[in-house]
Formats: sequence, structure tokens, C-alpha cells
Amino acid sequence: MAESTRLGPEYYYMKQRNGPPELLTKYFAWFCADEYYEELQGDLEESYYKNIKIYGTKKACNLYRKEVILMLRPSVIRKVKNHTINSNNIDMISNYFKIAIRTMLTQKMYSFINILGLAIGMAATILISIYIHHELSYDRYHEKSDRIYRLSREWLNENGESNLHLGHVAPPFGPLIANDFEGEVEQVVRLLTGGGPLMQNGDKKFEEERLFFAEGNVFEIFSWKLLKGDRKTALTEPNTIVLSESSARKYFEEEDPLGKMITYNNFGMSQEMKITGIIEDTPQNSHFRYDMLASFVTVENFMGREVMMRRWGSNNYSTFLLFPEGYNVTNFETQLPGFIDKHLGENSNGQPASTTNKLHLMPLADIHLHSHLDSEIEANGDIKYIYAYIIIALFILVIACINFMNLSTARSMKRAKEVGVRKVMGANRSSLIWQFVAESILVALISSLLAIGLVIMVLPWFNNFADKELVLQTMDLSFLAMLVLAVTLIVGLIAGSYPAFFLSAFQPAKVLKGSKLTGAGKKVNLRSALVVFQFFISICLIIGVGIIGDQIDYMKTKALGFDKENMVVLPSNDEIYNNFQVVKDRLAKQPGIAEVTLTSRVPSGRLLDSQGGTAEVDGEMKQIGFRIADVHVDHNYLNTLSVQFLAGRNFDPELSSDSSEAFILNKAAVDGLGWRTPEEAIGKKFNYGGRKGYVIGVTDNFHFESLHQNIAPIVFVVTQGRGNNIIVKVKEGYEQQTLSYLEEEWTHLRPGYLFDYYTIGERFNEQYQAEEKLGELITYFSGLAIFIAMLGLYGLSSFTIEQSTKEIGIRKVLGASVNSVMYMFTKRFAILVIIGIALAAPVSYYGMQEWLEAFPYKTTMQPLTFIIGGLLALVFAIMTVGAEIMKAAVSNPVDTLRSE
Amino acid sequence: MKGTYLGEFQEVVLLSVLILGEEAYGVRIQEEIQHEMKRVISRGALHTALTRLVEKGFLTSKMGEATRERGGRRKRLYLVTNLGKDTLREVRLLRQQLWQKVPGWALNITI
Repeated sequence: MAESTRLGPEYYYMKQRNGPPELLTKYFAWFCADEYYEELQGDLEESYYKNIKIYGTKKACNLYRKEVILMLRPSVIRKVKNHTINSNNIDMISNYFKIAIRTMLTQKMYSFINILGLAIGMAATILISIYIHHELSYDRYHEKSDRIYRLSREWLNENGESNLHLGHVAPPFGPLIANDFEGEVEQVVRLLTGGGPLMQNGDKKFEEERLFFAEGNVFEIFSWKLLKGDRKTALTEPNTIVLSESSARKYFEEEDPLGKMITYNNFGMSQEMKITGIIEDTPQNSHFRYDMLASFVTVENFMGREVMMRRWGSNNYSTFLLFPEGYNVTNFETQLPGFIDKHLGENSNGQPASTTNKLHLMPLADIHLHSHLDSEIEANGDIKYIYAYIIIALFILVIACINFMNLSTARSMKRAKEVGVRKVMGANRSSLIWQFVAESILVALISSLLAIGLVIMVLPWFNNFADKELVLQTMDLSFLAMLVLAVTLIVGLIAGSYPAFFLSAFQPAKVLKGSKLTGAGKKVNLRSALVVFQFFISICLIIGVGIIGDQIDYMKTKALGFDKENMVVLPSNDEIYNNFQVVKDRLAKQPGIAEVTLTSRVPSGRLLDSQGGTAEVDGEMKQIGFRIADVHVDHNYLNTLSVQFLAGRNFDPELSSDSSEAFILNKAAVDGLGWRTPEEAIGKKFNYGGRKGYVIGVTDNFHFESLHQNIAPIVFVVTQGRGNNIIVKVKEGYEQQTLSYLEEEWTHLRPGYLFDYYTIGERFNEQYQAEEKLGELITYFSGLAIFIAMLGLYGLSSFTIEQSTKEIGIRKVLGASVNSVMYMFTKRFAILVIIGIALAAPVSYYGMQEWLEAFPYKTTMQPLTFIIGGLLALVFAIMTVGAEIMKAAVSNPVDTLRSE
Repeated sequence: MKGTYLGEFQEVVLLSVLILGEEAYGVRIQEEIQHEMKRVISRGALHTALTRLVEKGFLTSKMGEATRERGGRRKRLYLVTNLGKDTLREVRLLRQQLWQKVPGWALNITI
């Protein structure tokens, strides 16, 4: 019916006299069922004119719109069937759906395998996509994030090689940049970690690891929401502090903390700080997180601004720059060497400072995935692992798609007659292709629903595993919807297109005559190739898991060159340091304590301190041209760790000169300096960081840092004021008893602080967490991959066997034994897996070699790992097909061959 | 029996139709309910209820005359059938029986 007639003769009259909104009326006329249109439109208009009198035109229009929208209900909307569109198409499409659902229902097992396989593959993809989406979103929530850059400082040796690269810089850099580059740099902000102070409100005391001192303009650069307080002035005064929402609750519960005081205790001083703001908790996707932000002027006043501006050596100040909109940052970077020379002058050898000092910029949003400097505020993620996850997700999805393709084409015989009939009735090929593609999209749709369920189920586990707090409810819904839709369509199209083209190509004359399809042999080969490919991927993943496991084992069990067992590390403070001899004597009396020592750096941590110096090589004093890290220790340190000496001796407490002019080097340092043997180094003159003296001993190389690092050259000196850590070597069997003693002692020695310790062995193992996580993840995903591949193999094999029951029957009649039949069929499938192994072995070998390249100390790849991986896949495959083959092989030929 | 159950809203609609008598058509019923029950209902929701009541046989309808403010369209007039009247009585009886069983003290408001 044309709309103009439905709108009635009065419509045009109505238009002239300020009637209800025209578009809405047309819209209502379009969707309203014919039989009700007259009365309903009449009613709507009657109310409309009444409402104009009561409320006026505007409100009446709004009410009219509301009424029309609320008319959208089944009782009002016209039935589709009554519509005059081509009902043949509708019937055809509903027939497609009917057939699709019937096919699914008649072959429940295959449908189940298809849907389950696809659902698992899709769930894995969705999960990994969510994770990657989150990883990529780091720090992008700041409004100005594309203009914020982090300053980092790199030290080079005389040959231009990198010695050290820190993600934070010395305090003078920030203000000097702001001054020298006025106009080019909009804002500069410095943040300094608070060193884990003990914060106190009444009897509530906690150590706050995530307290930062931040300059007053911090909120002008970063977009964190200040829930209470003033963004501009919150951190401009000395002794002011801003708490995160959750730490405010921790200290003040339901009270309003604004304006209240909180006590800051650290370095033996305590300071009342006024709370000037409450800030949102750091968003999870931030490369560093705070619990409290205190005003930077507090530190400046404490240290003295002038003093701070001379502290070129304390590189602890995270410095962020904000550039003006549209500014070309490379323009700024090219001026940095000149800036360094201007302020740092010349090195001791007369070269400009920029030859050994470099400043770098990194965009804020890149830090989380791309920054792996020697020191960062928090450990970052790694873009390489993101790539690995993407590859794994794609692998699993491909395996699931292959399942679908294989099972669909294998079952094509069953659909051949349908295709024939449709073609005879006049269906053209393109409509058949659409039918099958639509069918696979339907399957994909069902799978996607299941996949969403799976994702919801495993998300808590995944969060736990990935150390995230991803929640579906808080996620961007449009992103989720797009993701699920995209995965569904892609899977539906990819998995559906091949069967669609394959099935729609049947010639009706042939399939309806019932003759075997020609060219079936070729298709079987393609199917086999796909099965081979599935197993190829699965085996690659299994071997990958094996080698990652080997490498982790290797790193954990490799002899480090010193004794890491039963070493308990405790924090020190000034009090303990000044009375160290007394503390040490008291501890040494304990039956469970073997040794006690004091040091600036503990093995398993990083070697971040170094200074320059000279050494006597071949009779002349030469500049040390590379980085030798220093470790400040007491006389007992090397002894406690049982480090091997190659030449010379340890520090001697009886010789007072050892405390001021003795150096012990490790072998890497001796080699680097050019002494030919450790013995040659003994007694040579050595100056380092202002201290002049002699080399008294050379130790063997040992792994001070984790096995991710090469053994660095080290110099040990007797400490003069830098002993932040105390290492206690506990005798075996006394661990429990000694720990409780130490707890008691330390609560006494560090009043107010919580007892906090770690062991060197544990700390070493913690370094390999990234690898363990990757290994664990690939374990799960390779499990999934092989499971899906097995599902597919099961479907395919049971189908093939079903097709071959007659063949088996004839073979048995002619004398084949159960064993030989089983052997024959098992061989058919085993060969596919074996080809998969043969392809996977070299590929995974080269792939894993790439991965191992990143490690300076790596395991050698064992052939056993490959053999186990292959055998595992083979055993799983045979187990999968075995039962079906067995069933077919023992069946009675009479049942299979008799045709009535 | 399917469909003889009378929902609360449907009961209100039926009663309104009875009240309005000859004048029971869409807009009037809508206004009556909004006025008496102090709740806003949409014409669409009312339509659903009316259609259901006709399907159940509680209401019949016929087309009435057209007016100018209706854009020259006819209105549909509703009438409660005998079945509808019986059902209303039954519902009321059941209510009353329940009310009689409620002990007096049970309605005291407790704090």
C-alpha cells in the first residue's frame, strides 16, 4: 500500500494547521499494523491536540514522540508476512535456516565438535584480544598523553658503548631544561620515590612503597582525577600530601581526610603532612602506580634547593616533559648534546661530556611495552610477548577453522543430494554459496555465544595468571561487541567459504544419479594437508613449551659460582649501621646463624652503581674505559657468599688499610683491564671513584645478577657508609627458629617497621617469572590447540571409518585379521601426524633458537624435547582415532555387508 | 484454560471500560486510568492490554464515528462482554474472601 493513501486525506490539511511532527507520523504509519492504524493514529492525534492546549506545542511534540516510540511493541507492529516484499525470498531464507538447524541436529556429534572447537578457538582469541587491548591502552588515558615524554639518561664508555641506561635522571635536568628550552617545552615535572616511608595516622601505620614526591604542576601534565582538593595548588606548599581514594580509606576509613594531618617517618625523621587532596586510585593501565603523592618542595626544603641542583649523581628523579601541540620532538632531541655540554662541561680526559652522557626521550604511551632500561619505576610489559600472544591466538583460531572446514567437506556427501535438488529447482551457484556461508556464520554465531560464556568463566583465572584486574563489565562495550562480531564474521567467512565453494560446485546430474563424486581423491589430499597443518601447529607449541621449560630449569639450576642457599636479606638503617659490630656479635651468638655481613648490593639484584677510575696496566696508569660496577661490602661479605678467589686474598679486618685502599676485582674486570692473569693484577695500583689503592684479590666470575645479564665487571670495596642490606647466612635445619629470632630482633632494631626479609635463592627464581608466565600460557594454549586438533581428527576419522565399513567388511571376509585392519587404519592417520612432526621439528628449532638468542646463558636444545613433543602428539592422535578404529575392526562383516 | 487469567493492569482496563460506558475508546480509557490510578501509561501499552482482552473474549469492539481532531479517523469503541463481567465479579469475590481472612491486627503498622 502506498504511504500517501494510508496517511489519509486529512493528512495534508493537518500539515497546514500545525499538526504532529510529520516524520514521526510517517514512521508510525510505516511500522503500524494496517488493522490498527486508523484508531491508533486517531487516538495519538486526539491526545496531541489536547496536549497542545494543556502544555503547549513543544511538550506535546515530546509526548507524541514518546507515544510513538512506545508503540514499538509486537501487538502494534505489522507482521512481516503481511508485508508486500518478495515472500519467496523470505521463505527461501527461512528454509536455509531450517535446513541448517536440521543438519546440525541430525549430526549432533559433528555439530558439537564443530561448535565446541570453534568456541574454544574464539574464546582464546577474544581473551587474548582483551588482554592485548588492555596492554596497548597503557597511559593513553591522559588527555595530553601524545605530548608527554619521559627523560632517561644513558652513560657510554669511551668506545661509545652503552654502560648503563636509567629511566630516571639527576634532579638538575628538569629545571634546567625548563629554563633553557622555554617556549619549546611547555611543562616539566619531577617525581621522586619516597623510599618506602612509614606513614602514620594515630595507631594506623603502614609502609608506603608507592609514595612519590611530585612537583606542583603534576596534575597539569597527567590527567588523574582529583576527587577533592584543588588541581592547581594541591602540591605547591611544603609538607602537603594527596592520598589515593583507597589509601584515604585505609588511614581514615569513613572520615573526610581533607585538611587532616598524616605523619611521614623516614630516614630517622618524622614530619607532619597536611592532606590537601584525594585522588582517584591509579588506573590499572599506568606504567607506574602511586598510593600517595607528596609535594616536591618538601624534599627540596629538606635537602636545600641549591644542594639538589648540584646532585648530578643521584639519578632517581623521574622526569616528564610536556611539549606544545604540534611540536616536533626531534628538534628538541638534536639540541640535547649541546645542553649536556653546557651544563656538564668536560670529562676528566678533556672530551665533551656529551661523548659519554646521553639524554633520551620516550613517548609516555610507549613506556609500558617498549622501555626496558636498567632501572624503571615498575617492571614493564614487553611488546615481544604481545606478538607471541597474537601468534598463539591466531594459531588456535586457525586450528579451529580447519576443523570446521574439514568436517564440512568430509560430510559433503551427505549434502550432495540437497545441492543437486536445489540446483535442479533452479538455484544458481551464488545463492548456494550464500546458503553455506550463512550456515557457517550461524554456527560461528552459536559458537561465539558459547565463547563469551567461556571467557566469562576463565577471566578470573586469567586475571590471576596475568596479574590483571580485567572485568568485562567495566570494559568498553562497543569494543567488546565489535571484537565478538569481527571474530564471528571472520571465522564464519573463512571457515565457511571453502566448504561453500566446494559444495556448490557439485553437478546435479552426477550427484543425483548416485555416482561417486569424481575428484574426491584430490579433496582428501587437501583435507589431509589441513590435518597435517593442525598437528604441525600443535607440535610446534608443545616443543616450544618443552624448550621454555628447559631454559627455565637451566637458569634456576645453573651453578651461580657462589652459595645462594639459606641467605636471608634484611634491611638496615643508620642505627644498625652505626652499631653494626654490636649487632653482628649478638647475632653471631645464635646457634642458627653462620655468618653476618653488610653490603650495598645483594646478588639477584641489579648492579647499578659505578664510577670512573684508573688502573696500572703494563707499568702505566690507564683510564678505565668501561663500566666497572661497585659493590660496597664489609670484610666478611665474600666469605659469607663462599665466592672463589683466583688470586690474592679477602679483606682483612686486622689491616686498617684494607678499609680505605684495598680493591678486590672479579675476573671479568681483570680481563677487561688487560691484565693477562689474575696473579698479575695483585698489588697493581688502582684508583676508583676518588679512592686510591691496590688490587688485593681477584675472585672468580659469579652470577651476581640474574642469568638474563652477562657477568659484569665488579669491584668490591670496604664500605664507608653504604650498607643498606644485611645478609645473614642461616645454618641448615635452623631456618624456622632463626627467622623468628630475626623477626624479634628486627622489630626491636627498626621500631615501627614491619619485619621484611627475602632470601637470595627466592629472589633469583622470581627473576624468571616472565619466562614462567610465557611457558605456562603456552602450555595451556598448546593444550587447547591439541585438544581442538584431536576433536577434528576424531570427527574426521570416525567419518572416514563410517564410510569404509563396507571396505572393512570385505577385507575381513577375505581374511584380514582385526590387527591388520587396525594397523592399516591407524597408519593412515599416524602418517599425517608424523608428517606434522617432521615439519614442526625444524620450524620450532629455528623459532626457539631465536627466542634463546635473547639469553646470554642458554640451555642447549635437547633432541629429547623434540622426541617427547612428537611422541605426545602421536600418542594423543592414536588414542583419538583408536577407539573408532577398534569398533570398526571388530565389527561383524555380516552386519556391514548385508544390505537388506 | 489458557488465557482466562486476568492481570492486574487488565483488570484496571476492564473496569475503566465499564466506567466509561458508551465513551470507552483509546484516549478516554488512557485518561481515565491516568487520572484514577495516578500512573502514566502509554497508548501502546494500553493497546497491548486491549488486544489481549479482546483475544480472551472479555471485550468486544466496534468502530465509532470520526471527528475533526482525530484527523478524520474513526475511533474504536470497546464494550465488556458477559464473560468479562463474570470474570470481574469472580476476581472481586476472591479478593473479598482473602480480605475476610486477614486478621485485624495483621494490618497494624509495626515500627
